Amino acid sequence: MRRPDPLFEMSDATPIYVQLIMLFRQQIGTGKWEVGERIPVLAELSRKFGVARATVRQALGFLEREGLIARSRGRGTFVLRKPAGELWFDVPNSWQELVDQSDEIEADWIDIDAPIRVPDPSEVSRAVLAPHYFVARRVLRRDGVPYLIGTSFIDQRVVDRVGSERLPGPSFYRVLEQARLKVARADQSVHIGTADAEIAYYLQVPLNAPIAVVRRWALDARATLVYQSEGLFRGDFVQIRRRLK
Amino acid sequence: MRDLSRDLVPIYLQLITIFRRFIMSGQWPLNEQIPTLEELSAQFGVARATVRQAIGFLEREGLLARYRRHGTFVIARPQRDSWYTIPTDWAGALKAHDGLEPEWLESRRASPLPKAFHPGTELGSAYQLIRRRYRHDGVPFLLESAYLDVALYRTLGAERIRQTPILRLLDTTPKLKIARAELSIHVGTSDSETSTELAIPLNAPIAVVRQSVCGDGKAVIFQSEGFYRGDVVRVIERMKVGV
Repeated sequence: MRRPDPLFEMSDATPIYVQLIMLFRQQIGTGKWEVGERIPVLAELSRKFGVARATVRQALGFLEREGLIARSRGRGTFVLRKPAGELWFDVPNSWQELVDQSDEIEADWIDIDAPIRVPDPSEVSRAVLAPHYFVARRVLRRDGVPYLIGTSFIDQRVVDRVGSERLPGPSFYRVLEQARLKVARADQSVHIGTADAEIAYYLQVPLNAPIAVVRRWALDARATLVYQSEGLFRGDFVQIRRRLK
Repeated sequence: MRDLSRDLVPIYLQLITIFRRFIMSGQWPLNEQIPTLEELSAQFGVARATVRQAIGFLEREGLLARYRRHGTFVIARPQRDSWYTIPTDWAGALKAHDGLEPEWLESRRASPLPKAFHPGTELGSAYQLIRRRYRHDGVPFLLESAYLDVALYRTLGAERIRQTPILRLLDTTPKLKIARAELSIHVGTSDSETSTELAIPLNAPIAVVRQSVCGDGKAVIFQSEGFYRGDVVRVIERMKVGV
């Protein structure tokens, strides 16, 4: 008979190994499992959570690929480092901060293998679409850890002003600034979603892990939608901080 | 395209999650035809039968419809029409609880004391913990723990705290100085207690919203931590532009 830990009830909605990954990351993040220390053996974890050993092994394998733990034959499993998710990425509410914030980015471009529709600008009243958009999808990393899949739509005329060969380098916000684009209005929305298979793959998170969806729209003085983006952030990597008073 | 076969989740289930996003985001627009089986099979590098299985699932869900010789069309786009917008400025925060149905869970002296939520702030010696659950359109969606300085709790009185949002009481109390107020929002997953109180699955995404209010200096006179159902909340902001 298995006697699962009453503090940890398994739910039906999420695969058990995913729940274990989240729980183990939490144990490491909070220091219950300390860096450099050995974690409990497979049999013990399996008993404690009332799940099969193979399931525990599956979850530990994920954390090993993530670089949080290392299994060493005969000696046990050790914690290497805390989840990078403790490094928060701030979502600012000023355009200039966005421009300044993102100069040191590491990014991989993702091939767009199917045409991407320009998202519906109806969420911004009276926005006028540009004739053509330059579309880019990238995975952004910090310290080697992927934390954001960004899809950006930039008015092609703006891109032509700086030359598209300039785009792979700095952040797109810096590029817009270099093109002397005057942003007259910008809006952003943030909501929470879950990682589908593609997002989970690029962000190296479990399927259905929480993500933050950040959308931005920027209009020039003539209300042309010059920039639009959708950022899918690892949920454990992002925060919004505001001074209320 | 990624190699779906490397994952442990069956491929058709993975395809469902991706296709559902295409429909939700409008990448596959409502009333328009989606790419053919052959195209999708080539794009994702999977067998046509697997694509057909995923499409069949979304067809039964009522999002797609297959018409012989015409192809497969998007016939519904799941839309959320009861969003709750988390305010990120003071004026909004004062009105954040308007229209919500509060339910009193408990009120007691906080022990042990919580940690200060925001760097640069410090907790005093005694707080009253007030736990409430709020409903939005009848659905439980916010579990809130509020910590109020005990002296202030006595001054304001339990009855007024029941009737009026605490932030608004602080804002309107004469001679009460508010040196700073902060808010932070994180994305998290629900633990077993939150899951039970909000009637959501364990590990479901939640928004964790923390507020703190300092009187004179660094001392926290009020701080609160709210766990919101992740699927109904959003933040909308007009960004600051120009100089």
